[in-house]
Amino acid sequence: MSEKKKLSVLTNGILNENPVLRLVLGTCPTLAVTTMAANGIGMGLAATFVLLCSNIVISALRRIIPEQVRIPCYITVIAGFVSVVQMLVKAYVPALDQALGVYLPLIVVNCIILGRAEMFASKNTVLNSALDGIGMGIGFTLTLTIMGSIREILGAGTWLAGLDGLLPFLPEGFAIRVLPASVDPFTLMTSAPGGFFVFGVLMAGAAWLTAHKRPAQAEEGSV
Amino acid sequence: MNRWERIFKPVTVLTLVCIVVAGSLAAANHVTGPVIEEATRVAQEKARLELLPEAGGFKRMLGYGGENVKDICVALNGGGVVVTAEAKGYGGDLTVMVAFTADDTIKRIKVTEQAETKGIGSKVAADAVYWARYEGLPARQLVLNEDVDAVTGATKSSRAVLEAVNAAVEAYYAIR
Repeated sequence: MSEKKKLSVLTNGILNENPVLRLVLGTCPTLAVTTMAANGIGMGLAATFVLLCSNIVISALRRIIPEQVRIPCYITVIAGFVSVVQMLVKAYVPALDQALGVYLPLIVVNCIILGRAEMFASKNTVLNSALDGIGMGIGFTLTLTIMGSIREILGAGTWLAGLDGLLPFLPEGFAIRVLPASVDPFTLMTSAPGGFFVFGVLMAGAAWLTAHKRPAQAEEGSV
Repeated sequence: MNRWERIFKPVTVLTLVCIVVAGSLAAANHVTGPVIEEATRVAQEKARLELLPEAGGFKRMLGYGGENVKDICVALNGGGVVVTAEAKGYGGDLTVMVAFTADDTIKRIKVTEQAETKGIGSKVAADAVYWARYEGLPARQLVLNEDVDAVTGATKSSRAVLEAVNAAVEAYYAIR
């Protein structure tokens, strides 16, 4: 595989095959955690780590795992990595564990990870699977952060509140106030309907962006 | 496809995968288990000292089986008690630490664990400004909207905090 193609495997997940906005995978955690930007960042990074590890292991075992039991094998590997991540986070970054709460174990059922195992890692080399994991992870993290930012700014009037849980050097109670406290925030945004609304708008945006990019890509291919 | 490929290989591979994963989990647990326990203990001690700074240290009281009370810690200097109690909130269990001084007043409270709705219930559960409403109240069974006002739109979360405090009050009198 050429260098250029390797790069496209990496960048694929960011826009063209963005797991959340284009493949529509992992919708449940996306809607649930993005009430705040910092939650989106934490969830995105944790899922990226698991995605990278599980893609590498599953790709390495792709010739050994028999067809009939591939799904149970994938799930076991993924659940194992998630549990290890959870233990490590609990032991060494308890603040992050507090911030992510129940969403950390929920990575097991994040269908982006299982989806990439089935669609990509089980058919490609270890290196490409690792690149795919990183790319998909970046796409997931970026989307969650953007969604979390929109919902937090409109719904709570702050930005990046709770980031001190992820970065311990920030002062406790860190938050950037975007809307003045006297403006009553649009709390619908932090509840489920607001999540669906932002999700729809972002999906439309991603569809529009990829539609614009398509002619340019066709030219690139012909060169 | 012979019998090995069709039946025994899948079983063997899946079993091996499970054994390897379980083994690595056990190893990870062996390494991180004590660290997690220590971190939890330190965090709880720190939270208690935040509520009753002059206590110096705490001795855990064992043997009280009250409902919803997780633990009771008596200040080493005799200046008060910190009770950890929980109640059902809107988003699951909500844990509150309540510090009592020796003259039967609530000194301070702190919600240590909660999963209330961000922006609504969190105004009650994750906001020290709301907790301050409990400061200096007498240690007795409190009534919502009489002793402490609920936050509009977050009645369930407000009630959960109050219920946890009341459970703590009960425990406080039981051991006093």
